[in-house]
Amino acid sequence: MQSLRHHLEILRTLSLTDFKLRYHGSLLGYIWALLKPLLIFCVLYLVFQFMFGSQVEYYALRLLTGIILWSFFAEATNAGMNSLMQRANIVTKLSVPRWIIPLASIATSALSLLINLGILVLFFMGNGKIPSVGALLYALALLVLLFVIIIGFSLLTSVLLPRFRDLGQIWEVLLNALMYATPVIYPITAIPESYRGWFYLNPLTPFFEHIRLLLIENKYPAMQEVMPLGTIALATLFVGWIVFNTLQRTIAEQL
Amino acid sequence: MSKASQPIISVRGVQKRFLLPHIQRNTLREHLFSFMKKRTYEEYNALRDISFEVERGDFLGIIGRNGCGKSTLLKILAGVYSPDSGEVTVRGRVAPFLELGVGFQGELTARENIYLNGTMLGMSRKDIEERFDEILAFAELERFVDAKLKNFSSGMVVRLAFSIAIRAKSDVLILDEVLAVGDSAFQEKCFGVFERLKEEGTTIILVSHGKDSIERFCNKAILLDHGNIIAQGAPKQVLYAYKEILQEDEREATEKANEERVVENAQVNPGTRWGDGKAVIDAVRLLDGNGKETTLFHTDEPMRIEVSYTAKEPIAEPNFAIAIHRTSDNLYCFDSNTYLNQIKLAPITGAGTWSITFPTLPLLRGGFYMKIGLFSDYCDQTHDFIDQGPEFTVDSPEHLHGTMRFAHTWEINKKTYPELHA
Repeated sequence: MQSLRHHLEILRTLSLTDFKLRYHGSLLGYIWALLKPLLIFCVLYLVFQFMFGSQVEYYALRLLTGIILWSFFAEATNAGMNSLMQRANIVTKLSVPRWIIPLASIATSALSLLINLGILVLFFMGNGKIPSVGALLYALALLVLLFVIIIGFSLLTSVLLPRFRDLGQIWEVLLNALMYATPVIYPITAIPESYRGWFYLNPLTPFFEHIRLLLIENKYPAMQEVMPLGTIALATLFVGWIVFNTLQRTIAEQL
Repeated sequence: MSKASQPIISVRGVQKRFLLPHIQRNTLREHLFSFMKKRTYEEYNALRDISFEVERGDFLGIIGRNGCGKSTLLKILAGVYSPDSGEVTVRGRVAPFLELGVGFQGELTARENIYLNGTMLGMSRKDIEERFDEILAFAELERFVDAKLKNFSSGMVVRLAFSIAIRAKSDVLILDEVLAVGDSAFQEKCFGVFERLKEEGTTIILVSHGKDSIERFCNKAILLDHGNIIAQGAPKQVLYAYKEILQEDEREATEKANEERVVENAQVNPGTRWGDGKAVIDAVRLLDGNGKETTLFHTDEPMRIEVSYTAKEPIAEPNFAIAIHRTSDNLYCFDSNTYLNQIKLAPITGAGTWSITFPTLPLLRGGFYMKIGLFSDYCDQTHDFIDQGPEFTVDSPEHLHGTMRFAHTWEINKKTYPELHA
């Protein structure tokens, strides 16, 4: 019990240090964490509101929600995958449990997400949209599932990366493709009905759509639509954990 | 058995093997396009069969040459590597670090780094707060607590790191080659800490090339070589064994150097060879009792030195000379020449050889080199003189000290003393 507390303390220190270092030395410091998604939002909004603005209500809110969720997903998976290689000195010099390291990097990304969610709240209030408590809790539960997927993915890829170094390049390209396969910029209704099924094969699509449905339209997605997400999340975590546990034994030699 | 009497660390039959692929495959393309080819590996046995125990309060020194497996063993003890077979049981907490200052960030201040590194070493926030001043004071960095680490000198960084490390709560402390850094005043301070930790009963494992620190602190030592423990026990004995390995190395190096040494080429360095060139030494061969060429000789066994020369002009009164010096301190051991030995030589011309034989070489263990000269009119004319000639090593079955082995016998007569008193 005491050792778990200590491990969590290491996790906390590592992620806070990472966060501190990321914005260290820049003029605006932590404000960048807020500014970056806002600026991206401004650019995308200017470009796409003519295309999609008339198709759906609250396009700005939808877009900002999408961007914030997407940047979290992209950043967390990237950081998680590279975590063990980046912290090679800890892996090869200290005997702390290795799972702390990918988790700490995800926690760092989660801190950025937290700040961004603050902006999102302001935007929602400015638009007079106040979701119900139930919808918020539901959205939070979905976010937790997304977390679980990211953790599973990071466990799997962080331990594979030292063996297959080009996973990093592959994921960069895949992320790019995935962003267009996920309704980040466009509303899912912009896709012709006959093709929409394909987009739902991408598990990120229901996440983004469900969270928007909850926060903007205050409607609850049906349970049978969420169950597969839970299954995917647990399966990812399971596979990630098994592979991580097997390969981490020799990871110090690979780095 | 009670917990206290059990060894704090037991290592049983630990083996660690590294497979070094001849062609490293790190990318997907390499994996995809070469999976048909059989992978070939270089097997490297870092640790072969290591067993030892460390008792509570021991100060264990681990010593060995580079590549002997020290680091691998430490990594296994610290839990960074897992052994291929065998097991390591640790009854207590090992300070889990092999290097000082793991995770230090140059962009952060000393204060932030103390929290960061301290946490990594197992201290809670409260522990760190309590020891914060102590850590700074020991590192002598109170004035720089809010300065960024990147602006520190390397000595300051090491001091800070060491200061944090020794305050980590643990039953076993593993220190790897840390004594090599810091100025002598700080090193003395570290030694003081070692004494204190030793008195407090902390178990310490120290890896070092430095014999001095092992002799000074350790009550036990282990000598590793090629992944095996070849000596363990009292530091004095282990260090003696270590010295022997090093001497063996030196001997091999000398042999190799001798193989590469071509006497003809000695003129390249005019400082070690000179003469008027009327006659030159062509080659020097060192032979043992069986006439085999070698550079390893044994006390009280035969040694023969054969020198071939070419006299380009007739030399009327040649004088062949040889001297032997000890390599380590240039001690002048032996010097002789045909003139002093009153050997009348006929004039020489063209190629020829001479040799000198020591039927029982009286030198004790050590490395030696010879000077070889070809003179005439006693030593008035130097035709060729090699100041730094071939080196050789002498080994001895006995462990006697000194330079020479005098033939000797001992007589001990117990009866004498009581009679004296009577």
